[in-house]
Amino acid sequence: MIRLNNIGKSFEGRPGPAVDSVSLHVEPGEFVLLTGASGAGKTTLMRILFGEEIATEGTGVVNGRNLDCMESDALAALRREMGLVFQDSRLIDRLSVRENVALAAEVGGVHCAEARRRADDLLCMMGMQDYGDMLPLHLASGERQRVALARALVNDPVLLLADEPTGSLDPDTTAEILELLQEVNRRGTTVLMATHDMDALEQLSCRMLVMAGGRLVEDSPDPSRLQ
Amino acid sequence: MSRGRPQLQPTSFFIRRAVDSILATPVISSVTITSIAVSVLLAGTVLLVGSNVYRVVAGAAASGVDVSVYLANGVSETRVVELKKSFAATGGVGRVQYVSKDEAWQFLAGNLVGSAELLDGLDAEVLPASFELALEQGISGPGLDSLLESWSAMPEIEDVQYNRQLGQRLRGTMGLVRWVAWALGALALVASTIIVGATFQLAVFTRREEMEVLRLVGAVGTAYWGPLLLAGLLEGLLGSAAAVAMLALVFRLTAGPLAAELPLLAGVTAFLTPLQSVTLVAWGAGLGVVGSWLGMQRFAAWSSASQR
Repeated sequence: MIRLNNIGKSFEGRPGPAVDSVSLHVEPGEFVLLTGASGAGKTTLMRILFGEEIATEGTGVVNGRNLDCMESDALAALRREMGLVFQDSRLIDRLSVRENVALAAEVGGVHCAEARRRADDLLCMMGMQDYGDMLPLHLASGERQRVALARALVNDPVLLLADEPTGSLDPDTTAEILELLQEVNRRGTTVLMATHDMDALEQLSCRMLVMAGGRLVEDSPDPSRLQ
Repeated sequence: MSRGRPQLQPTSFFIRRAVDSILATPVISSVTITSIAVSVLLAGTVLLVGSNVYRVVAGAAASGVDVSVYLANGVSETRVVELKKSFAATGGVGRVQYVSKDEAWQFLAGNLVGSAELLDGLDAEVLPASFELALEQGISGPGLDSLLESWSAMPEIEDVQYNRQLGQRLRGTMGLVRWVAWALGALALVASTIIVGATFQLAVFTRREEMEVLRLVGAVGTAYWGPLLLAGLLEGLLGSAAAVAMLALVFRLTAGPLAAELPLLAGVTAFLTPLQSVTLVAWGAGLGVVGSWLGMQRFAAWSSASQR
């Protein structure tokens, strides 16, 4: 699903690379945690994976698409094959919850009625079936994050990239979101989640990658084995 | 479900997104529509006035009357016949037509349909009888001047009007008017394109987070820009249609009273042709599309610069 070979990323004016020679294989169906201190390079690596940054070194393939020579059409297609969740849910506040979710399907060419049906199904899965007509402004952070997750899943992605999805949530809501992510993974979607949230790390028993100073310093099949 | 398979968005997607895009920024959209309307109104006014002035001048030129020779009161019929023969025999004069006082009166009354009250208390005697002469091509310069002077010197003749000269002056003026119209039109085009481009840039900029979301969920090409271009087209259509409607209303309210004041315009003035009206609306729509495209280009440049 993800194959990175010595991926590096440097920014002008920044001393040292943000990501330094990272090699990584993620197989389909895996749930992988990516952790590390703030500034370790997690977000930059995630941005490389969804094509928002171009690596300055190395090669990468995500779902069969080569990351270093991607035209805008191919990049958009890749983004429709994956779902993205961020710490700030990035919902469009003037669209209803249902419209927010359905929009991601519609830009992929799905008809309005079908997109709304998918949105309703996913909102139901997220326990948000009664919130479809509400505006995101009136939702709590955890609810917004559930809507963001529903939007990320509306095109039935093969890969879900979640960058600090529980970063601004309380422990109970974090647990709910993590449960939903695990449910998504059980249904067959590969999940790569970047986090430095200790609550999240303690609750999940899965492969864990640790970054420090832009490098991948640890790759453990089970977080309980980490020092 | 489709795992990222690229598909064409249905038309309803573009229309809904375009309308949504207009409603999302109502103030900016209103400014855009107003800018386009003002631009089209300016162009339409120039076109309307220009085409009517041209029609009046063309009508005068097409009448074939180059010289009107007005007779003094009391010229006998015998003398009228002699004068007609004399004019016809003059070298350079192609056609001679006598217009009696009654015929002149009927002509004037015919041109004042709807304002007949202007003639109340008057009769045919107030108008002079005249000869209308069509000159042959090529007669001009000192020869023509001496001919006109000799006619003016005749005791039976009260006044001589040389219309070709008037026509030539009007045509000269028309040339100037045409250049001024082109200059005004070009100025309006450039100014409105810049204004419309700036308002679209502002509209896209205020929705940059939304544009970002669209990009991240895989919108590209037509799905990304299409609704905004369509919004430009719709705003252009709205603005230009409103401008043409306003122009038609103003014309309807002013043309009648103006023709009553200036009989020269009676029965001659007309509103824009359907083709001209459609062209103006199309121009406004094009302006909207070009403006939105310019705005998006600027936004794209800003967006890529800010990502670096």
